[in-house]
Amino acid sequence: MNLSPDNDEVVFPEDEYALRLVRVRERMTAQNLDLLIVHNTPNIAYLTGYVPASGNAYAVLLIKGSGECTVHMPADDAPLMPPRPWIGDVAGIPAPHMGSRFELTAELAEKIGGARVGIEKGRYPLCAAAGTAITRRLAGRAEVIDASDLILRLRHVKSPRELSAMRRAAELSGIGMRAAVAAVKAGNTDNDIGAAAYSAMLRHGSEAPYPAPFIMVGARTGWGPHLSWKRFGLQPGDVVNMEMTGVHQRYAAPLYRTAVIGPPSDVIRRVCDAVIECVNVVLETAAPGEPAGDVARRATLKLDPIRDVAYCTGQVSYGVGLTLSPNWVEHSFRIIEGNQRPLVPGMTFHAPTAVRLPGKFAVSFSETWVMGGERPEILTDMPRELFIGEE
Amino acid sequence: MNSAFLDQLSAYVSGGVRQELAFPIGEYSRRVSRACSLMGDAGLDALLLTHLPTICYLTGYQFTNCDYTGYLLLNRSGSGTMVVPGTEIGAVLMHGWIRDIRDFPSWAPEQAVPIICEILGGWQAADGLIGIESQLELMDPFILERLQTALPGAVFHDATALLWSERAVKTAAELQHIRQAGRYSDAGMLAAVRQATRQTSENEIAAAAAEAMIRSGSEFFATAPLVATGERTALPRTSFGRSAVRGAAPTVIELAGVHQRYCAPIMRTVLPAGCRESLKHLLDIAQAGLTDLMTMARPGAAVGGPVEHARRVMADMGCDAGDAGLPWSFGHSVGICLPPTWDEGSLRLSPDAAGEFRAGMVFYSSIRLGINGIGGIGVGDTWRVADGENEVISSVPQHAVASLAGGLK
Repeated sequence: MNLSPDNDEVVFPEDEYALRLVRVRERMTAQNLDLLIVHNTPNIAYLTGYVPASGNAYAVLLIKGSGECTVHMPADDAPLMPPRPWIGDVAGIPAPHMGSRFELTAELAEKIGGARVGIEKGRYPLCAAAGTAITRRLAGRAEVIDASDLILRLRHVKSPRELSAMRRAAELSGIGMRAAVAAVKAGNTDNDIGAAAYSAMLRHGSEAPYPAPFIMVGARTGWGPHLSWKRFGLQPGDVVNMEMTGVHQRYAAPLYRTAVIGPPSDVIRRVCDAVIECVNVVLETAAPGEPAGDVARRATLKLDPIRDVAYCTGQVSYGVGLTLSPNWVEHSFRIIEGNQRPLVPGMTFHAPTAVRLPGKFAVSFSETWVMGGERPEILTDMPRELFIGEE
Repeated sequence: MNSAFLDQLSAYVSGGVRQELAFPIGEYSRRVSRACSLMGDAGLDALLLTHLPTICYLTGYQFTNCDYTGYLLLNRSGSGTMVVPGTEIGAVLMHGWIRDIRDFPSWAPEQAVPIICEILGGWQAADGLIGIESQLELMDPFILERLQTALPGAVFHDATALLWSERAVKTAAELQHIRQAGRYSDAGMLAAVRQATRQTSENEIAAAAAEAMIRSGSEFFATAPLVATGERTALPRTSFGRSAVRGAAPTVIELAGVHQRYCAPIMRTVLPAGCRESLKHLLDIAQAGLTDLMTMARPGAAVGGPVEHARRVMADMGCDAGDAGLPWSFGHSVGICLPPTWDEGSLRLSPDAAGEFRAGMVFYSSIRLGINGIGGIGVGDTWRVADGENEVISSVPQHAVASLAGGLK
């Protein structure tokens, strides 16, 4: 079933998708690529508007330097691929043949042809077997090179429509976070906080967020950032970490806040102050043209007073934008020492600074922001402070 | 920095801090022992595992952002080492038995390669036969090429299916987790059906389902509730998108509660009064096919046989290769689930599937039928092959959904 152009599931107008394809082809030309084979589902979503229910759904977009492109995907899923005038063929794989999908894609690539072919060797969900099938099929016929970053670098800088989607996502993140904070009280569980946040975002129109909100309480916060609710009760004195994103038109704008049940101890307060200052430095001083590593170095100085007790990765921002399951991280650009690539207006970031006292507690705050023409614009909107839950 | 972090957390574990193990250590020992035995049968010197559900099965480790990985290395004697992004050290310790942990920056995956090489070298396996999960995401060409360059004497052999047969048959303890997950699913489905009768929106239905599941105890979902209404029900699986529920339009709801990372998916359709008779008929066909499959799947039967039988039942009722579309796949195994999917991947229920049913296997079978331009229906259950009567995990039967929908205002 083809979706009509005015169906509200068509995310961006045709001219925006057309422009994205033009830019991809410009980069292909710059790299002398005749054919680009795209497996990364967010990249496919970026170019076509295709949104599968699962981010590892098999779908391959084969882009020639000019002319029509080809999509190779399960025939059963083909109705989800929006019609684009530059997609000439949706080559559906019949269900009985799905076991041979890697070989079939490789055959298709060979048929389309090209002396220099790019594949996204390091991009999810391309697996080694699928890559090997292509390389073997094209051996002696084409040079196969890694094009993992070709489309990703184009996604760094957001269009006005993308920023509109992210602003709405940021509103939804705030709605979820406020619901979460309201549920931080002794006697509740981390599930109660998660349920409140998740359902609030959905009720206000968010699409499915991936990952689901991270809700950690008490000593669990001191073990790592990627845990979530698991039926643990909240007690007086517990620190609570909450990280989540609303999603609009598959764009994310994550937000991270910390709460404590009852008055915070001096060490909790000291750590919070340092973390918030670190985040503030990023949001108040990052400038277009500045090397990313310089921002990170400057910001993380604010953590020096707590380095005797707390650990931090040193990353102060990472790229965000279009998101499909299982992750909202764009894997495009990180603000961390050592990365001397310059910040460019239109780049969007999630800026969490998280510090952990191993096995004790963790503190994190963040915002989602866009590099403006002169200074950062913060998209998320919630007081950047330690919240106090009821004892 | 991370070695000190690891040391401090390890001290907590050694000191007896409560970990979050899904099973007693003995269960993991058993699984690792079986894995080592299978490695021996396959002539493998070591396993280099990247599929996060596999790693969870063997070690207990759980992860959320499953588009980048850590690695589990296992040798023939059962020694295991994990190589993970530094942020995951704590989770590895908290969730499982692995104590030998090395870390690398998540943004520099190539830095895992020399660590892996060092470990394999220490095991005298650098020139050996190394099992990898090459058919699944997360073992990607980028890493494999670097491993092949760094270890020119090693042969990396596809071992994707090595543990599938083991994982397909669930232990009593696993079944307990699946049944608990099923209770969460039931809570979510009941809440979703109630909401669907209120003519609100896909989002309201998904929110109600999610809230009910989480409040009843479910962990984070591998896949968020899938809700579609109206013409969108004729599409393949697609997530909620703010569409309003209107009039006599169908609503298809699919979700899975999660307990200790085990899931129990379920799918139901709400057909309001006044809906098209053609959709009711499709629902009857789908339910008949599903019921037939779950009845005919007996221990010892070749998988393809009951699947073909169910297809014939559906074809006899009028489901053909036309608009409604006779399905090819009647489901897949379920067990451990991590984002982005609840599909365990070890066994598919299709006419050409190899193997036979065995008691203890657990599947999610779902059938979706649709009519372009009108809408569709879907029904699905998690069920277990048993020596006696097969067990359906859900307690929200489809035939009761209509009365639930009609009786709730």
